[in-house]
Amino acid sequence: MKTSRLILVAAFAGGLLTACKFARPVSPKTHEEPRSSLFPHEKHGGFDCVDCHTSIPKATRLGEAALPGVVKCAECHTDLQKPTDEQTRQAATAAASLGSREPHEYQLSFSHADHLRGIKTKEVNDACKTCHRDDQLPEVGAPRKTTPTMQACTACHIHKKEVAEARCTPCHVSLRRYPLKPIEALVGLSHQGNFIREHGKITGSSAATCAQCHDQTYCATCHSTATVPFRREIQFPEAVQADFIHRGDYVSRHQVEASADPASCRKCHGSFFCDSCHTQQNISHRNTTAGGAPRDPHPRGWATPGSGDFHGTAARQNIITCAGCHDQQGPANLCVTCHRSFGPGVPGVAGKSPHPPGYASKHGRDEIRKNGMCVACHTNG
Amino acid sequence: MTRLRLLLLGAALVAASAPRADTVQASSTTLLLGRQDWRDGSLQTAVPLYELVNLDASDVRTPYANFEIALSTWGALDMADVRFWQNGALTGSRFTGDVNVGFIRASFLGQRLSLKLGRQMVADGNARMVQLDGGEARLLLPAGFGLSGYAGSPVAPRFATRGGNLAVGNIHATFATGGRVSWQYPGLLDVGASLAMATDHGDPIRQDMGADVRLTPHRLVQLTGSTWWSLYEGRLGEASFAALLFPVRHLDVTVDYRHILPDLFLPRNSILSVFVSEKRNDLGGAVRFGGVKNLVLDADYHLLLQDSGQGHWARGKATLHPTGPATTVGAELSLLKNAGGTSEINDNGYQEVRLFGARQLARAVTGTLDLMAYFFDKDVNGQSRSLAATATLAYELPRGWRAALAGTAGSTPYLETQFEIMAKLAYQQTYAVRRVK
Repeated sequence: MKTSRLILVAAFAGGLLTACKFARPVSPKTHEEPRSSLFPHEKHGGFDCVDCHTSIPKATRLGEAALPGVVKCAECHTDLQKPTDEQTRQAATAAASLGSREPHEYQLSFSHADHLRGIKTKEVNDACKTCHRDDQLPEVGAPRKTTPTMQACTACHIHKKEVAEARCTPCHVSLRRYPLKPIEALVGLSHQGNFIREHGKITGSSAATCAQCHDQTYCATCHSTATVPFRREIQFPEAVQADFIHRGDYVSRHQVEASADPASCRKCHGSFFCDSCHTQQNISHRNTTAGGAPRDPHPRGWATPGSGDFHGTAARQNIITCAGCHDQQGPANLCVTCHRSFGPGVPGVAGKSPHPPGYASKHGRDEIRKNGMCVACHTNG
Repeated sequence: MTRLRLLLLGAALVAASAPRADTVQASSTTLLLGRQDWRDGSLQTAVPLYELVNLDASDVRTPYANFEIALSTWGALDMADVRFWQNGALTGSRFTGDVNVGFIRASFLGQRLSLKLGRQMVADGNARMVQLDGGEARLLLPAGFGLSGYAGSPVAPRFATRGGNLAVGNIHATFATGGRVSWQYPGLLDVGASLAMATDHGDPIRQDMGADVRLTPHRLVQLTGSTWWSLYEGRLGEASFAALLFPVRHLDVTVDYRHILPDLFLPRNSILSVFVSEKRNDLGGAVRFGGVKNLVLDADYHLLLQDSGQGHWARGKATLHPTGPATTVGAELSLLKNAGGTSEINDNGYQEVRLFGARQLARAVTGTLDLMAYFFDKDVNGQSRSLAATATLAYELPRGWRAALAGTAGSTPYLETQFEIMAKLAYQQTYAVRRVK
């Protein structure tokens, strides 16, 4: 078994090191800060877009079609090679600087060639405007906002199937590398409202969609309750806007919230989670460090039938609170001491069955005989 | 045993031969805490030092398949004599650690088939986000059908014995399995049926059958519903429905209803599971409005309907950025009133007042302040309120590094005066292997 573990560890280490060896950091600026334009579009009215952007109709990938350079400009501006005035000198400098720019990294896989072939218009500029709807082309110094929004894509390509199957990568290079912000306009992808409460239902049917942006190491910070060392709020006290469930002095109010919604606690925490702390606080009857004399956390009247605080009533209202200390599995349980059966048809305390109404009809004699927990009380089956 | 070794060797070769990962997400957090723990009436100080590491390499492309390799792990050293209570886990050493997630996922046939092996979490259908060591398969079939299944051993903390009453996780089981079959009409309807089974050394823990539906009749309206039925008990465990609406721009509305039987969340081999059949309902909704510049308003209310009476759980929150994103001020009010009936132990409630703020103090320095006060309807440990104040100072360092210092002071029902400090050095960066042009 040691060899198997070694192989497994080697597999992980090898895989990760190999995967990482060519890696370089991704700058968030690559897709958040548009570059400024170097070209005065206004002055060049009357041309078709492709008169200057000549390689666009054949470009199958973004970035493949370089912006027009000095040579293209010089077709008209013959003095560009030897500028004689300040304006031409600036234009020449701008055109020359195109080649020295850092290549842009694109987030999308997109073929201008395929799209221009598919759009039928009389004027070539109208074909461009199908997606590039902005009438205002950028002037010198203005940010280039020529990249259409996703609505331009979905105006023609509904992509219902791809969205439903969480297949974003044919168009988006990687949503892990360039995560989109939650889309307010699409109800299925909005993370707003009471998302902490609702996200479980959505994840149950759309785990693959969530995984497009969130890897499981992200989910694990909250949901790997068996293995994490502390709650998330301890790690991120600076996240004051976040809606953490257990923020602040949760220990003092945990009983109050557990009474309101005990099932939510149990979705993450088992009985031992509660009991291990209760034992340390010496309020669990399993604590043996204080000479087997734990403090009694129950109110007066706990063992008095008819009292407003009678334990039977409280247990029927919230049995999960009881499980916080009294959930030893199997028959070795404090409850069994009193509630066990004293013979066929003779239940424990005051001759009353501890089971809820209808219990016997769903758990017949055959099951009782097979189930060791049942036999602990129903000794005769 | 030989077969297992061969399988692991195969996995190792596949992983080691991975030529390049498109995207690698890496994060590391070094955390030093100084905390006061209250233990049976005495105050004790714990000083744990943690190192947490997350790595995820996705789109690792080979001629055979695309791979994802994920690892989330941590280690800790207790620097004081008293150990920090680590979510109930039992360890006798100053050194502890664990693995939250560690798996290899392979996708074939254009992502139509994926297989995942290792420590992972399963959320499909009514799996209830079970964390397990095992495998999961997912298959997209023609005509909108889908199939997924999982099997494995639910994780025990610090690699302790699994199952039984010492398991800290959400399922007291030694083995869990389940799956979901689904059908979707793209963009309109997604329905699924699921099964979740678990056993603890052969004893049944859960045998649940679930169903879920998601209907999107309009891009601004979504209806979701999910339910599960305990096959073992022959009772409905939970049914919940929600409508998500965007009636106007910047306004989100959620209306939801839930019927739940909490006792069915106990493992079926717990003796406490034989005593009670308790029903609860809650009905309410949430509203979020972001239509006023730099201001976001959140409100949430649920009516708690129980056999013992009615309770109320409400919350309102306002977040304002008065001078843009560099400054945040906010206020939160909440109220919880339980429907505990005559039982004192189930009948407490509280009112909360919280004020918070964040401000960019210098180019790379941000400070936050968080003031919280809870006022209890009935005393908790003889005290009627809990007060806590937390201040942090964070410094953004170059190349994805971040340092933070936090201090908390308070007066709570269990600690007359409480002080905590935290120092954190965190690194978070996404790496790309291929340049995409």
